[in-house]
Amino acid sequence: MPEIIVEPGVQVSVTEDENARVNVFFGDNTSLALLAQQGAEMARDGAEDARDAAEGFAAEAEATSALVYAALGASVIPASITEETGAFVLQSGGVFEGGYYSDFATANDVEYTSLYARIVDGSGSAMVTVLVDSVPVYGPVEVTDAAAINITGLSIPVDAGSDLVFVFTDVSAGVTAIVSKMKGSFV
Amino acid sequence: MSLATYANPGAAPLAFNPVYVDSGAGSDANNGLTPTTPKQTLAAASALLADGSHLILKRGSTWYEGVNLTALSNVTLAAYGTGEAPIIDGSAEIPETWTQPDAGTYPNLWQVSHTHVLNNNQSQLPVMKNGVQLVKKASDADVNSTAGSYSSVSDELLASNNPAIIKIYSTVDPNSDGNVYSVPVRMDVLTNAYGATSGLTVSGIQTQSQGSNDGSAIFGDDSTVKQSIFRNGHKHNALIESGSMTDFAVIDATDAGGIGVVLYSPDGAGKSGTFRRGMFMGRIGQTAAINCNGLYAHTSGTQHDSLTVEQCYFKGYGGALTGIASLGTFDGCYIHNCPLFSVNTPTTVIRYMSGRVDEYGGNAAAFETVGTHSISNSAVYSSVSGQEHIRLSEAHTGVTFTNNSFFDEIGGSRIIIGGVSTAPITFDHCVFWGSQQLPIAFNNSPPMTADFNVYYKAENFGSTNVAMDYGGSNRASLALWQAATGADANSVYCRPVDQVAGGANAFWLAWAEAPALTDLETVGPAVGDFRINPNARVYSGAEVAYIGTFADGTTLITTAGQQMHWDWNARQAVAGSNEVWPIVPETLADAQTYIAAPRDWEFYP
Repeated sequence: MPEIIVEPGVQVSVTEDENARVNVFFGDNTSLALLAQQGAEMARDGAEDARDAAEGFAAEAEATSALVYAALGASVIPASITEETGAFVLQSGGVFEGGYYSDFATANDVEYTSLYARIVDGSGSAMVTVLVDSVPVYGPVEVTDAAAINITGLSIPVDAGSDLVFVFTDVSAGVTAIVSKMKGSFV
Repeated sequence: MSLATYANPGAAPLAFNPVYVDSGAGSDANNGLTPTTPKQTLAAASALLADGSHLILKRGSTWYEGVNLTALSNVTLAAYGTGEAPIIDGSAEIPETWTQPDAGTYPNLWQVSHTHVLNNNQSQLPVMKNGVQLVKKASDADVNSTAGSYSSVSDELLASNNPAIIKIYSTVDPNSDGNVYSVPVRMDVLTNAYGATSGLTVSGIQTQSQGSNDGSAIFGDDSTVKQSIFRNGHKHNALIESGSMTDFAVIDATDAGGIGVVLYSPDGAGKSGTFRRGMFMGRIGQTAAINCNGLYAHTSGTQHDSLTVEQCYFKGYGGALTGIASLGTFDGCYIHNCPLFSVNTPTTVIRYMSGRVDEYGGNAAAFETVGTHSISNSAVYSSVSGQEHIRLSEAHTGVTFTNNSFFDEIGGSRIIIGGVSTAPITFDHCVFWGSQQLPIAFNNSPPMTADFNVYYKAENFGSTNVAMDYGGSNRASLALWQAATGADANSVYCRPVDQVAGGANAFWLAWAEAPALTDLETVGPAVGDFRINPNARVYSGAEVAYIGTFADGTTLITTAGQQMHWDWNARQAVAGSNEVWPIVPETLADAQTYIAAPRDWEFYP
């Protein structure tokens, strides 16, 4: 699991493992309550990182096995490497509408096949749109506080080097935290 | 996994101001801000745009109006919903007032009087039926007997000929047959005028029947265009000042002198153009190269800093590229039945190119070039008489060939013709295969640096001798060629009499499509492989045969060098020469399938 160091007022990058990355940004008006909330979120993210790192190691093992199988001429190749990316926005005064980078200059060609979105805190609804290099490639789709959405069966190719942005629009005033992710595999 | 977390950020998020437009279900009374409340017309939608806006077009829609974004910057055009990519059409429908001028003599001839928009730069008035241009005929009799044809009193769009009398072929009443007949008008289908910074992004749309001279789909400086189709341009399909175009198709430039894509800037300093996986198609169904060009890069001032063309396909143009006025790199392109012109080019690097001339004659050399060029790891095949693989212009200033294969199956084709230029020529590790004509012919005597090449000429000049022109004189053997040029000390030639199908001397294989060499296709490592068989018997200038070796008896002969080619599926250069031609989306339907999901298109299925 990557080490997390938080110093309020500065941007902290804790990326150590390409399979687990968290970028945290703090504004100048960070309150203690918000810090506590953010700490809780990061703890949860850390847990997710641990899980993701394990998944990453498993994926690497799969990839290594694939190379071995390929070298041996085997006809059965393990499943491809999965990739998951997303954006989590927490703003106690209400989520600002607009686009949030999930990935800047993606490292691999990926085909995303599912989209997940959930209003983590607050009440109301929001529309989610996914942009690749500023072009809308999916959405808008509505998510409400009643239930998360998990749309599968998608085919959203993202070339290496692309910018990936999640856009939240029509956000109800009561929505203070929202997350959206996509999951896919390397191509 | 990567998860970006934003907690009370000090900076505002990225702006996203979409405007949705749907020609079918939309209404200009809607606010246009959501997919469920789209505008209907582009005029109403574009009125809502500001710098950085997204204009999002409903798939399956068609608009007969343009979009003018000249005053805006960083606008994005994209598509939403399902169905065919949205179409912006520049044509004007011809009113359904068709009559038969002489039903007795010409029962299939219908005419209409059409008042058209005068256009200073438009020299013809093509007529389209359901978006497909009809074939022009000169007389009433011709139109009456030719399905899919039209004529007009004059195609010169002068005031004195307005309105024009347009005549078409139809076996039924065109007023009620459900078909739409139209002509292009001078309307910019999509304009983000050059000469100003624009940052336009265009993805997943189609434009057609443009009526502007300068390229009706105009993309300004620093534009990004992808997964889009531009067709039936009159006379161009698209113009971009600088930026990139990726996974796109330009189809059916209609005018003589028309161009698929123009890269143009009044001042190209600090600017570049990049074109990747673009399909430049001349008129679909055309049986001869047409007098227009695929990509025309030029400037009226300072040239662009660079031009990059990667994995692009050119077919059926009079010239694949022309007017290239900037430093250029061409990687992995496929030039089919049209020459790669390169005019006024200071320096060009051509790598991994496949050239193919196999359908029709005309001016279809693979290269016709001036300037200084490096051409490597490329292969050119011709099965049409009279076509040169490479035609070096009199004005070239030096060309280097490395690791190339030139294969002339039918004959009548000289591989290289040099003009009067005495600029230096370099060949290195190349294969020249001429079936009937001279493998190489220089009318002049350029300084030669050549070695480790393989020359072959199958017929007409005796059964044993290679013959090549140097200084306008035939050099009937490799020894004479070496003496004249002072080059090719380690090069070899192969004798036709030694080429026995299935034997060790059958030293290479033809392209898979080469019917005359079918009997050789079972020989060697792979069907269609262009490389030399290492077990082949080749001959030095002293008529000494070596099997798979040079004179030292141990070193393998050249295998056309370490030939490589561009793998379109892998999107990278791979070892080995081309074995099959890539299958590219040549038709409109294929292009539409391709742009919808470029990664799903298998170039080598």
